Amino acid sequence: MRFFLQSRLKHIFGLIVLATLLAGCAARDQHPPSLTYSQALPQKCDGIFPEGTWQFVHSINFAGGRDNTTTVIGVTTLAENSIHSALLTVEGLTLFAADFLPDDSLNIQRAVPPFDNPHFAEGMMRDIRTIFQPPGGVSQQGRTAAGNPVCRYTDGHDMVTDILPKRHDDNDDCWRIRRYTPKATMNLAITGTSCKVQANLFIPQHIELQSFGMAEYTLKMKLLSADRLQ
Amino acid sequence: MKLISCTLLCLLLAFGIPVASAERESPAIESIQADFTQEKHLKILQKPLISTGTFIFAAPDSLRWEYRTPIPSVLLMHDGTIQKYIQQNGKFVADRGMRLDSMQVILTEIGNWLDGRFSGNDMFTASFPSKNTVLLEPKDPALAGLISRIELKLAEQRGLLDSVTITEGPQSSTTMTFTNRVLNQDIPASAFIAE
Repeated sequence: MRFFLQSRLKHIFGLIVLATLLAGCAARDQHPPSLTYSQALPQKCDGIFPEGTWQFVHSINFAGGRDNTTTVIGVTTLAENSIHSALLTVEGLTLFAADFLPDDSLNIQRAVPPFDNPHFAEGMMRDIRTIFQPPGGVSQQGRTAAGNPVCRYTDGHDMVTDILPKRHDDNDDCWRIRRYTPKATMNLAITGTSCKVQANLFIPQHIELQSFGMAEYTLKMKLLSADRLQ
Repeated sequence: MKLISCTLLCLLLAFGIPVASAERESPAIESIQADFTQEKHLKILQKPLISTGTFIFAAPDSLRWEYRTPIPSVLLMHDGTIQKYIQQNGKFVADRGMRLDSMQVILTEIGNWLDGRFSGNDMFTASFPSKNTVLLEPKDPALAGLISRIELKLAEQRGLLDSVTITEGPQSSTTMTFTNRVLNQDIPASAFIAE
């Protein structure tokens, strides 16, 4: 009996692993949906991104691989076109602090190993900009075949970013962002849930960010505070 | 990450120090319990980040350091092992990102901290700018790159600390203030073991 149960557990575990891998592959291989373009949409995509000076504090659970999961506190301050960001341990130790400037340059004030990896800072800047700043490039509005509104941005490098505002039939998802490489495969998926409106801004209480490709990881963010600053 | 772990644990142990006054004999400490409020000050923070929690220490080297807000988490030291758990989706799960395998070295400092002996500490140089202040500065340059100094404020009551301030650099510091301090109550071993 014991041997039978162990065998079954191994079989089930294998199926779970296979399903996870297939799901990951499926998400990775997703392409930008075909859109029917229109002049205007009932929901504006700009309401997703903060205007003015804001400060957000999140708990961030990072899962980067097997059994590699940790939680830190993230502070993001948006001021004009600059972003100031810091990562702290729960105990208050500053792991990383940097300014992300309008010209895409970085000013790193503190970076404790392993956060001193230059690729980490660049990736973090990319993720934060994608969450908090509207994409650059040519914008178009349209609907998917299912009728869901999409704001599509295509930059000068053929990188596509789709902003999917809350659908009228969606009970929880407040917005989603999907980024696609020039080869039209998804490399970033961000989902905001449990939105609350503050100063005309849809602020998700939870954000999940999945990165695909060279660096695969998942960030699960829970909002601790959101303050509009003078 | 080992250095971070060493630093954090050393600081955590420092927070539980029962200090009479610098370098004088202190009453025997079997256990300490207290609430704490933690304020994180950082240049980009418009207002300090406030955390609250409790800690329990039982001699010789058992520690429970628990945050209640904003992120519930527990760090446990007992019988030579160290574990950290963080609440996710309503459950406490092991936090594996912080490597704590080098913590055994820190445990050798416990006896000194508890007896209020700061001089001769391998990790910090101690100074006493006033009768109720102990200043600790890292000896290791690598540690000094993380923490420039630790300031301990001694309580009026013999054997206790009022606060600990860890300064990382300009405009970056963490201050812990202790309240509801209780000494030498019996603490069951289960308090230091994950459920």
